[in-house]
Amino acid sequence: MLLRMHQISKSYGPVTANDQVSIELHKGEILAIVGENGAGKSTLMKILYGLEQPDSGTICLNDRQVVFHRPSDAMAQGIGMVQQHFMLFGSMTVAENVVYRKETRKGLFMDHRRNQALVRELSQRYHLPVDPQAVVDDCPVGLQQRIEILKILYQDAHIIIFDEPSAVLTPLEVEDLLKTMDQLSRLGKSIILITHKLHEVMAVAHRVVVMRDGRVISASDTSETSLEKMSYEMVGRQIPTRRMTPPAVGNPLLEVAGLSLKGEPGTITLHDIHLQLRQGEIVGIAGVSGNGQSELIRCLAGLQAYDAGQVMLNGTDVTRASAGTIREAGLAHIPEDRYAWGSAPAATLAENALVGAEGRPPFSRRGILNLRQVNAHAAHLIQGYGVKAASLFQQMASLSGGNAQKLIAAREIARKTPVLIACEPTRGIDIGAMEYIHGQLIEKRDQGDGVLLVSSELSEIMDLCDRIYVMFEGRLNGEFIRGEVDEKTLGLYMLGGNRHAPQTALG
Amino acid sequence: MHHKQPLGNESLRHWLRRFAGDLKQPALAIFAGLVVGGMVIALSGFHPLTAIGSMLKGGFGSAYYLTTTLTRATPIIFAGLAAALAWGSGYPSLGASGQMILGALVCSQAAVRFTGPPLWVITLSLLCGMLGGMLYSLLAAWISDRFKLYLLIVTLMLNYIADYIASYTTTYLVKDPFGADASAIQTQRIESGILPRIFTGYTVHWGFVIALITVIAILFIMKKTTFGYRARMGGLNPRFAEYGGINSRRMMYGVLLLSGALAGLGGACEVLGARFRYVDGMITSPGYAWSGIIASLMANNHPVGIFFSSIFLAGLTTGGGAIERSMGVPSEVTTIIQSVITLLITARFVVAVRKRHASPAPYTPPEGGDLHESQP
Repeated sequence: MLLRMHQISKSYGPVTANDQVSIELHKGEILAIVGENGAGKSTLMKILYGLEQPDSGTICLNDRQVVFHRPSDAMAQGIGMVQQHFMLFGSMTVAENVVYRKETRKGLFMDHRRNQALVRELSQRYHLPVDPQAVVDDCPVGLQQRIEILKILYQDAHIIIFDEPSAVLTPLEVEDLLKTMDQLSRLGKSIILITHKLHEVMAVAHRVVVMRDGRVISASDTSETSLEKMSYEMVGRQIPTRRMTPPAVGNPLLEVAGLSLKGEPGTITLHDIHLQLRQGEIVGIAGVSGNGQSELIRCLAGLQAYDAGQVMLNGTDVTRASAGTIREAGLAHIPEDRYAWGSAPAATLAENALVGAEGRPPFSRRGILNLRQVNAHAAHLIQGYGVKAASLFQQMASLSGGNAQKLIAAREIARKTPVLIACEPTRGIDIGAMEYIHGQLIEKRDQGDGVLLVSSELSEIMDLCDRIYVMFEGRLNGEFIRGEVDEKTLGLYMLGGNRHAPQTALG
Repeated sequence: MHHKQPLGNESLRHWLRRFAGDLKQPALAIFAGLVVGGMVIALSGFHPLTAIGSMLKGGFGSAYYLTTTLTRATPIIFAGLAAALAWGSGYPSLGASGQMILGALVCSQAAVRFTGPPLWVITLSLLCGMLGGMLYSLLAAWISDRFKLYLLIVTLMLNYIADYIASYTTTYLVKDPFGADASAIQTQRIESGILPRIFTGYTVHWGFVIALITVIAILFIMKKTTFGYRARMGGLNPRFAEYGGINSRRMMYGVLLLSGALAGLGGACEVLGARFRYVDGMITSPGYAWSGIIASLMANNHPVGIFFSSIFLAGLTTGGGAIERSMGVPSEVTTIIQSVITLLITARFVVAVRKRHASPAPYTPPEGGDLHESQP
């Protein structure tokens, strides 16, 4: 047995994150650990990586008990972790990043040639092609992740933890990543994959452990389980298959004409965007992330000045209006980055649940807040969306990413505005929460509101959207109606496969 | 997806725990400051415990010392609130010094010119002082907004300008012609319209009560009004505030106007309650504004915390004076203690209490098995 975590328990105050959790990992094995947010996967990995100490339980490597006080202890024993947020020096080269802290030197100076040769050799041995001289900031996200993996391999890790590795990747990059994991296991590395994307588990893992509410629900070989069984075990109930009624489309709610943005050199520019969102429909913007979706949405939400174009929202001209005016005119917005834009991590949950509504009754009158109403509203959102929280007054930063996302989505959907822009509303969150948010989006549509859904998950777009625009390099290069397009065609447009003038599907 | 949870009002236990957590850092910093101060005292040949003991006694130990400390704390509380409001809202201003000077100067001129019942003169003069601080802060806000300059630099530079304006004004324009000491650079003494003392025989005046009321008012504004909510969100995450529809430009002017008004009121209370005139350097040489910034740092911008940290800092100074008089210990010890506290607070000094577990023997790779080198 390479690694055994035995009867690990860990509580944070009243919350039990891990309750007598035991897992085993064999050499050359890919073990997937799946579960919803707050199921305890991250805590377990933090304990293994020395970031947290267990309240009880033991960790054995090769049948010998070990204790990790800090990540460097774990690293010294050959355990490495590919974090969700990369730990790279953006302005340094690939080689410099990989050899950091174990670099070869010539006297006082870095031996760049030797370091680059080492990285090149490493990259060939593990079939992870990189250019050692490239600067990290110039590398796409998928490549940056590969650099992270090389960094860990350079440290001689033989157990590699991947924490939600595909959350930031495009579909093609995900395929590459899965191949990489498979190769590494064939080369004798052992891998722990933390994820909630079950098809990835089925594609690559040898064994899978399902966790729920801090406990291990099942541990089985991948060949002996199924997508349905795993999702049932994760959520603890059957996920109903979604059926959508045909849209009852009404008047236009959001009309964008000729929107253009000339960004700074090196940033995305938007070219002559035309789009329309009507009552009772969910309209998707599909595309590989980084093709101008973020910029477009910031323009629409009043967070970015643009050079040309007109925007009508619910009958009001909101061209170049401020974010506050646009909100008042009837827009709610789930932003794509939950910590940069969507919340104040150091503020309490109650304060985060209030933003945008603080100026009107029942939350305030004549500038005085009604804290009873504010708190009741926050508690209502937290309970309604099943946000796992101990108190209304805990910091937003103390919630797990998925729970923070749920609270932000709850806040925006609860505003009951005619138009909702949802950017990657389910990125990094579990099936149960995803189902719930999807259900809420559909309910909003069925009530006659309009939803503009920006997503880089094709399956999300295909499942929910009545109409789909595809965005590529700052242009909308295609428009399709639900049921008239397959994933393959969309994927082609997403990669710019179709360069001719936008088709129009609206009659 | 319904989870039953104990949400609702925060339990007393939870609140107490949070409160204790908030106090940990300032308490540690004060302790470290006293230790370093004690070491300096020992190095200069005095008994540290005795000296620090008499220092605390000299700051807080009797009704006389305590009220002297409260008098000194009054302008520090105002400066602390002004700093906390600006910094906590994401507009770091160092301008309290200049705004206090302008507030004090304007108030001193208003009070000698207005006539009428004392309460009327006091109210008008205080309002004039507030207005003076407010307009000076507005100038800083406008320069920073119009020319896209760092507010920190603008306010710092304007402090010097305010000091020189006040020196010039008191020297050439409104110098007291009647003073016994004609060489003193000061304005005419205010006769009617001074803030009365709270207890006869002790220097503490009604300005301290005004400071206490202001603490409560600012607490209310920050926690219970939409303005305070918006200001705090802007301070915690400006992008989040903008996303939520909060107009950051309007908030900047609002916050800085209020901050300037508080500083101006502090200067005005010092004139009407303690000095009865504007005396050149009366704000800068005791360093009220800087002590205010330290007080707000110690209290992590919390108004009630500022009330107590200001009194503590004022007590150190009065106590430092006391040990200099009685024991001959240099009063610079006070400055050293304050500086250590400031350093440790700004460095967000954290002592990580590590749970030490008995570590078993370290792991060594099994013989012959160099796992990570193996090839299939």
